[in-house]
Amino acid sequence: MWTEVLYFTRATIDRYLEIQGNMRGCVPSFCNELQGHSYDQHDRETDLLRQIVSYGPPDAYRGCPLKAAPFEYLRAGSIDEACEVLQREGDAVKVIAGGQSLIPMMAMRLVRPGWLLDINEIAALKFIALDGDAVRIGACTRQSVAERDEGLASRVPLLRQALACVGHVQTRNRGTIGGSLVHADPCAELPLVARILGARMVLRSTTAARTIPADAFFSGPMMTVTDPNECLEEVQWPVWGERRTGSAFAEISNRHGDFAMVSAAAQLALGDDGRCVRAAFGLGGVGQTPLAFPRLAQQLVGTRLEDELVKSVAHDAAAESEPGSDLFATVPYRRQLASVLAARVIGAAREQARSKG
Amino acid sequence: MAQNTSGFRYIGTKRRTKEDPRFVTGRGRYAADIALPGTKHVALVASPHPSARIVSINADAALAAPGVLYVLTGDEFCAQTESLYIGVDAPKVTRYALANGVVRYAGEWVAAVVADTRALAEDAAELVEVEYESLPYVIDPEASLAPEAHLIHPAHGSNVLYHRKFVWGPVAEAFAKADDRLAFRATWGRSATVPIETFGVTAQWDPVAGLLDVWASIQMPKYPDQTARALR
Amino acid sequence: MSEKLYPIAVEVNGIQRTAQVPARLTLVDWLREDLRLTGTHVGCEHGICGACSVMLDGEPVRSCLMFAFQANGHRVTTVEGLAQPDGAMSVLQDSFCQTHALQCGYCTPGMLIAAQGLLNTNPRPTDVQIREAIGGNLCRCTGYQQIVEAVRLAAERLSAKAK
Repeated sequence: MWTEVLYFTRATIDRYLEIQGNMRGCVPSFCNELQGHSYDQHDRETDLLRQIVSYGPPDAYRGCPLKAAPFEYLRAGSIDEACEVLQREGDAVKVIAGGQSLIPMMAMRLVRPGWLLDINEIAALKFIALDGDAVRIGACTRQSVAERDEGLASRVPLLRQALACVGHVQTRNRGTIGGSLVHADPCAELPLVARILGARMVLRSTTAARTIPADAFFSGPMMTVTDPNECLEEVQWPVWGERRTGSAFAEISNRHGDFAMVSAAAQLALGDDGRCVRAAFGLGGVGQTPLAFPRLAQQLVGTRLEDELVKSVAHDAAAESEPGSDLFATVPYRRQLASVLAARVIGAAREQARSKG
Repeated sequence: MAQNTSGFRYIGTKRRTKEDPRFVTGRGRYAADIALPGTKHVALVASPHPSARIVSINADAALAAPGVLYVLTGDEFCAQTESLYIGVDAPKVTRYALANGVVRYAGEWVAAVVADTRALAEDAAELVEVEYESLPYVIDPEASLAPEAHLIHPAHGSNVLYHRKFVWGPVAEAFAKADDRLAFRATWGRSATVPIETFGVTAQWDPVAGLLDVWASIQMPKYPDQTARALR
Repeated sequence: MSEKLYPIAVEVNGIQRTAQVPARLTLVDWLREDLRLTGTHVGCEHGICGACSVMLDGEPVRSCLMFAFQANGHRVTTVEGLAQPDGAMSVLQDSFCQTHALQCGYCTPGMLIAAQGLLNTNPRPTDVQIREAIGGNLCRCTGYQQIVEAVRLAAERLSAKAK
């Protein structure tokens, strides 16, 4: 698993999260022992300080490096070439696409690959193919390109809604669709959308290509089932054929563009009689991976999505989630956010679907 | 250009500043923009411990790293400079840019590595071996008031650096006459100036002229005076 | 210094520049240190503050989050490249002066790049769109109001010019 390649220890992840505090919203499972406490701001800060103090120093503590450790660089001209390098060099190589998450970690020396394999110039990984029952997006497609694509917006509207919350203009001009998914931050927007829509990730190696659905792709915080010799090639986003489809994305973050404290996404379809015929929704930032709630979503099918029902389903989803506590939000607060945001996005998706009378 | 509705010649008029044009064209001269031939760069080794005695610092590996010129430690630095200005009446409290025998907070600088580039200095900083003996720590201001709390500056005798009571007017009388009394306790977090430029210094010492030129992104009062005093 | 060097060719502000760079040299450090284009600033060095913003192929990016070698074969525009061909300030730069959209000036080049990126694709931005466009740039001095005014003013002046 490439997490070992990146020398991720618990202390490293926590230090990364603490340093990135102004971008962070979530420490999903690392503070389980704090669940159930009610903290004031003072307690949270003291507690975080105690945690940091008790870990013993990850390397990044010894100063505050902001220049990456030395590495060598390879630029792949094709996906085949990229896979060959990964097969040959294995753990020593880290793939770089947009680099918007990877480079800060390299600058702070939390990650030190011996080799960086640049896949940014592989034209074959930059595409948006609209035909068929799923939109196929090449792994290196820039987030801003995807955000602007009208064909994509009409077929998978949730992506444009989520992308508006992903970082800032500058990061979206470099960050890629694939990169965000492989980085697998539990508070990131695209993994949540992938999860609830059942997106499929195509992983290539020199010997094979395998397609992994989202519910099997994310294995933990910042962890996916991608093997060290594999490269994400494309992502397939299922298109809903129902005419009256509505979707919504919402998140609460410290500042616009930060990772979410809690995020919610919903997509649903109404029949001509106004009853729900299909529903999917999920929550980000309240578990080790983004969470989908297919069983609860099924409770919405066949109904008119009355406010009381929506609130109740949202509340149940929040109760099922496993938020963590950190400097920015306690467990009860995250649960409250989860409940409110889930209801909000289901309601908003419902209104959008209704408007397609 | 000036729209003067105030009756004053300058107050209330809309004027352009003289400085803006060079900033919007990228011609500012910030501390990091100063390019003197042969400038070296510094990376700092910081303490991971909130309170510890520095047992030893071994810079051999760092000094052998590519591009490294020097590793300055607190022993050498504090012996040859004066304490920085404290700003309150606490004559036994000292403050140096590098830790002087003990570290008092996680992140306090312990050694400075000088090299050809900052990247090389940071490479070498990782090779500096510092041995610490952990000491008790206190990280909460109110906890630090307890009699058994660890003393941050033992020579000072307590953890209170500044205590003042403000009395204006006949307070006791006013309270005695009041219909209601309200007690209010306020705490607030530490604040700091955090300019986007952050804090940086470029310095050049001319041994022949005996002049130290310093370019610094700083606005504190008496900065040249304090620096000169500390450097003797 | 025995780090391996990689050849790059980048068009910077309209001029083709070639160099041999270590892999870990960031784009912002190459622009500032090697090309002496110090108008682009290094603030946080880890992709939050936006002071390092430049245009890559005409779109704003964080140059501290790119290695110089990644710019090989691409076009970079820095704040020094925003001026008009005759060297006069652009309408946007002049608008920043008019509304005093800066104090220390450190965030300003990044703000200009972000704002210019917006105006290049959206000549009539709403205030919400202006704030979104500069949302990735931090300013500690101004409180942003005058920066938004400057971009609004520039948009008005540019569309008046276009008529």
